[in-house]
Amino acid sequence: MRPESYSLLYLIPLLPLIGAATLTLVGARLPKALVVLVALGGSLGAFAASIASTWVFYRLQETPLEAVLWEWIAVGRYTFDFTLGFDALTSALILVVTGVGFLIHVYSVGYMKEDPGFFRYFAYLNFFIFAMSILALGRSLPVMFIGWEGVGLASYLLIGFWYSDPEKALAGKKAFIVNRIGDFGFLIGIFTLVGLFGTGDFQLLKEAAAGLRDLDEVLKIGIFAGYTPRAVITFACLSLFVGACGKSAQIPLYVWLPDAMAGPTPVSALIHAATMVTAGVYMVVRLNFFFSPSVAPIAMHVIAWVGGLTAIFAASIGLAQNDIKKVLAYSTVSQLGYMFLAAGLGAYSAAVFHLVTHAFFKACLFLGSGAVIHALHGEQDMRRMGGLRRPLPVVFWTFLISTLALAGVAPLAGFFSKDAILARAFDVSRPLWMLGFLGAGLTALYMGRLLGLTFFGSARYNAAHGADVGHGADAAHGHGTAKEIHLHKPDLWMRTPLILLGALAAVAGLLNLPHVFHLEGVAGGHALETQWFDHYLSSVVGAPQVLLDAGIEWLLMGVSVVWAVFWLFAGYAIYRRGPSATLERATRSGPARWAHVVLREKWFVDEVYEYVIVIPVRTMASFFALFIDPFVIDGLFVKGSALGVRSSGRGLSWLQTGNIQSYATVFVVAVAAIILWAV
Amino acid sequence: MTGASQLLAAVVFLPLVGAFLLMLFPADDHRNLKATAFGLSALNFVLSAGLWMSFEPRVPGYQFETNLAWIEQFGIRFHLGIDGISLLLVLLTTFLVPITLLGAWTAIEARVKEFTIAILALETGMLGAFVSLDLFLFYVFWEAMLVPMYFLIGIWGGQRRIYAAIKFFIFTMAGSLLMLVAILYVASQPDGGWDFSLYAALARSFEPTVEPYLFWAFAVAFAIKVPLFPVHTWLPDAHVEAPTAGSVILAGVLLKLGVYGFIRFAFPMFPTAAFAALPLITVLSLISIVYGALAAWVQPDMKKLVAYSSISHLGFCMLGLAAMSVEAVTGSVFIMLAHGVSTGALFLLVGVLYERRHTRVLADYGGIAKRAPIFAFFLVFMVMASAGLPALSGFPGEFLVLLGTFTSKRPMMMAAACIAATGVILAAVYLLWMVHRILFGPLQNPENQHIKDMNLREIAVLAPLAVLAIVLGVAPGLVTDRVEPAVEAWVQQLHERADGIPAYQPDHGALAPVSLTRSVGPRLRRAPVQPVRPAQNDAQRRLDRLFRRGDAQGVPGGPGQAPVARPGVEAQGARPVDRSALRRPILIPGAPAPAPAPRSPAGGEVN
Repeated sequence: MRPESYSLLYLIPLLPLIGAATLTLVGARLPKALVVLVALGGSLGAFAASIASTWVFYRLQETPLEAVLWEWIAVGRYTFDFTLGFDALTSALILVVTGVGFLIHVYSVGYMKEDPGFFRYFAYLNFFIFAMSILALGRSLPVMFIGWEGVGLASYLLIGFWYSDPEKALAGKKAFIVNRIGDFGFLIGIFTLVGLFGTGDFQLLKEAAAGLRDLDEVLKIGIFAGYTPRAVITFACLSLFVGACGKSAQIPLYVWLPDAMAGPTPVSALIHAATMVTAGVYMVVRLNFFFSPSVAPIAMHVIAWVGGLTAIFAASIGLAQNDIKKVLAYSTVSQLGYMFLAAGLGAYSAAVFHLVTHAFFKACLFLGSGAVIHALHGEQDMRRMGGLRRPLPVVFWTFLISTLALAGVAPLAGFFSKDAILARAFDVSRPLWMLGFLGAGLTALYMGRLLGLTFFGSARYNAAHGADVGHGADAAHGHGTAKEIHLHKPDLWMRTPLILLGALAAVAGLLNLPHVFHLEGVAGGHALETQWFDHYLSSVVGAPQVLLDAGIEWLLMGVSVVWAVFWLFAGYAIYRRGPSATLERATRSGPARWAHVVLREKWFVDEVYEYVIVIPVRTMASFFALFIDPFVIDGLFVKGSALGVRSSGRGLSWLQTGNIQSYATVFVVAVAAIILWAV
Repeated sequence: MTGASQLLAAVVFLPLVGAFLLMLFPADDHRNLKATAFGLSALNFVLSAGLWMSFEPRVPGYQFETNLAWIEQFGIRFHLGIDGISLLLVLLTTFLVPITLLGAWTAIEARVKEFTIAILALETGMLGAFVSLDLFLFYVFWEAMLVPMYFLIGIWGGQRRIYAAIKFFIFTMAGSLLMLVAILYVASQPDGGWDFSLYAALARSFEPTVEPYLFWAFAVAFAIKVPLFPVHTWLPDAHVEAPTAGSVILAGVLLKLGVYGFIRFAFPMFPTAAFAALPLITVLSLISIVYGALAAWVQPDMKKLVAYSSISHLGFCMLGLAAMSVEAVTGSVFIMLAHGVSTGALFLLVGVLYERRHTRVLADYGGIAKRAPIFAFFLVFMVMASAGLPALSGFPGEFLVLLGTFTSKRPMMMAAACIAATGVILAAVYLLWMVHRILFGPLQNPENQHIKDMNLREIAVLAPLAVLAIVLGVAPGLVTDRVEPAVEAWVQQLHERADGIPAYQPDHGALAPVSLTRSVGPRLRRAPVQPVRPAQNDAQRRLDRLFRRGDAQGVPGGPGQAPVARPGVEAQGARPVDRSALRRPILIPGAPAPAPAPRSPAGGEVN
């Protein structure tokens, strides 16, 4: 379908960019109310523009929209226009980004109101919305890459927002650098596709993919002569997937995301849970004509397995964390694994559907945890929480709904999206389904534990507060030292987004009911509309497939709900009275202790990277800088040649006064003499 | 001689005239000295903006040519001219000099008169070297540049300034002498006469046994200037000891002369030897990229860190040349500009700190962002520009070099691009390390407690650079539209003139979709670049095509006969440019007088 021109698309990134620029340049002098107005205006404007674009898109019978803004890089053989595009997939992501983004802006007004860096915070947040919308709207790989790195910058700035704490600043740096490693792969992937197809434009690439005749016929011309198109595309997919691993925190590049929790909690909700980290999934689905089991099966296997393993691996770490945000962070890594599992199996719309529902319930969970941390003046250790159910009812109920959604309890949003993934996995690959199924149990377990420790049992924050707080807390709120702490209850700014996101987490499943719900006579005599979202995305990812037998699907759903409820309850039951003394005793010795230590220390992956990569490279760098340069090169070339000259040139030593001025004089005089003589 | 070509000469010599003017000033009138020097250099920037305005974009070949007799006996001519490549480098120079002078307003307190004179003289030297089309003239400017730079380091430098200055002088002098010998060889004609014109040198073909020596004599001189591993060690020392102004000009402009020398002289004069040397140049560039980046990471001194980062960035430039594709070479030229902007700015920022705290050791800082938020903003911004964040100045060049290298048909270039791309990771590593050490963490050092944020003058110095960083990143076409035609002709001619090298024939991609040529922007509507088929094996004639000049040798077919090597442009209805208006016949001394050029009515008289 030829895209319609709709130039107003540029408003979506432009409005938050204006907000960010205004706040950066004059924010320091603006009163707080005006800062709020500019920041919320920027993000709400982007949301409104996204809704308008979606409406236009819908009215045009889902014809893709495009806005060709200017010729960006155009040299030699290649032209990369600055083109924005809008189709069903874009609309799904951009509505989440700007919608959830706006809600989190609202929440932040309450959360950050006492922070001295108020305007700076909103400048970064608006900049993030700008970069993320470029990522979502960019119609070619290079333009997408602008957003891709732009969100990395926003993430860097926001993780290190409280930069006076070196650990937080270092976490930001780590995020940027690990993402850069991913971007290296992304760049190589771009080069490969551009080298093969002569363009980075998604529209043209799709056309080219459709025109591929024989994937296994060896190419005879071009830079890839001697390889088959399948091999080249597989290489490109794997390279791009390295980028996705960086941005979306998959094994082996996930290590930055847990550290990223150093940022303010609303940032964790927006960037490190709901939107930015899903960019990798979005990219894979965007390029589904290459990332396809029929085109690049090897790459797809890799993606599905990396996703599945990440899902279970991260969930296992989440079990043993005591920092509430860390648990949620590993949960995010794990859920992103599910999305890649789906994408790797070719269930693109299931991946995107899980992206959307996850954005709702995970944002709600993070904002809820932020409200808890805020209430406790910066406490993040769950062992010093407990009993918050009564004083913070709004937080508790929204948190509970989102927890159930995340654990996959029917009929909440997460149930439907996770079930769609597991159903596909069951159909295609039982080992992968097994990973997903076990991961779902772990998810329910750590969330039950989190719920029990935080909201149930007795209040433990009064007694121990201010004592050995191991983890960095949100610095702006400081540490209270009083025995009785005054709970800082969330204001209206904070409660509204919680309620809205909680509601979305509850009902978003309706967007995409499984086909087995297509029952006559349920909703007032009509059949329920099923798979609406699958159909909506079909223009991008192809028609939805019905694979499983209805009976098996019902069975799978039933089993997974029971499975989730069981582990959820188990977690809750063990931890509802606080850290379990029985478990503590059990993990004090023997293999259980080792298991606990390994999980608590995150399988020692950071340490392994430190000793295997960082330290050797830095040692090599020191060797270059402190030995090769001064001794080998200078010693050999400079001093050596000087020595040679000296020994051979003794006879001319009267010339060698060592006085540069006299050299210069001789030189100038000589040149002048030559010129004079010549003229 | 038209007004336009006088403009170029005016741009080159205005600073020198200004330097003489400043000699009349009393030495203690600091304010007027600085203001006059700044005003003159700003005026020169405005003049050079006139060059930009009247420069015909999308046209290869030289414009604003001036070709006057100078030293007839030796075939030395005063011959200036610019193409898209030198135009941009001239603008970079005239842009950076006033910024440097403004940046050094309070940093230089001793010998202000000498300082301003040195900077202005240096500007003429650099500009002259960028626009000379005569080997002797080029050599004069090239050497003339050395002297003020030597004094800049030696007089206004730091503790070990004499050591650094001498090291700088000896390294570059060693290269220059080699080059001088080669120039003399090239200029001596077989008939015993002399001809220093670049055109004459390009028209000659050298014996296969001699050509590599000549190439390397030039190449070593330029490689030292770039600097390419392993002749790079003078640069960190020079930077560390140089005053801020010296560092900005050194990194911003002087290093570019090395790359420029390769583009203008070493490669075109000795194409066969150049092609033979490409694998070695590729390897050295890759080493420079990775080695420079790693060495930057562990420097305790921030100036040294930025200096090593220059080595890494300039490695990208050289890699682009070695890739020999239009994209990569255009990217190289782009990096030269982008590096001038971002690294110039980084040196200025280091200077801002140094003026306040008189130390450049990273460990003495930390937590500065708290006290100096404006400084923090500029530092992070420029670091991002330098690290190649897309839509800032560092990205288009790196992207083009890497893409052009990856898709180059030369062997092993795909692997080379992958190795070079690790430089992108490492750039983030060392630059963010620096940012972290300077800006973040607690403000522990008591001496930093009262550090002042940037003042209005310093903001005025850095703001133009920041704006330029955005403009270059968002609209790189401003640059590439002017550079690309020259680069395209350059690449094609090199392929044609080198022995045993097939014509430049890049492909669009083996599986490019059919609609590619009609659905994307106007540029791609033209047909894929066709090889320029040499009609006959006649180097002279192909050169005529390169420079589109009247035919001095009387080759059949006449001047301007060969069409411009951009097939498809005319065919597809794009605006045909009347190039005849822009060229003039060039006199090659010693050759018969050119026949009147029928197709160049504007050609006018020959000087």
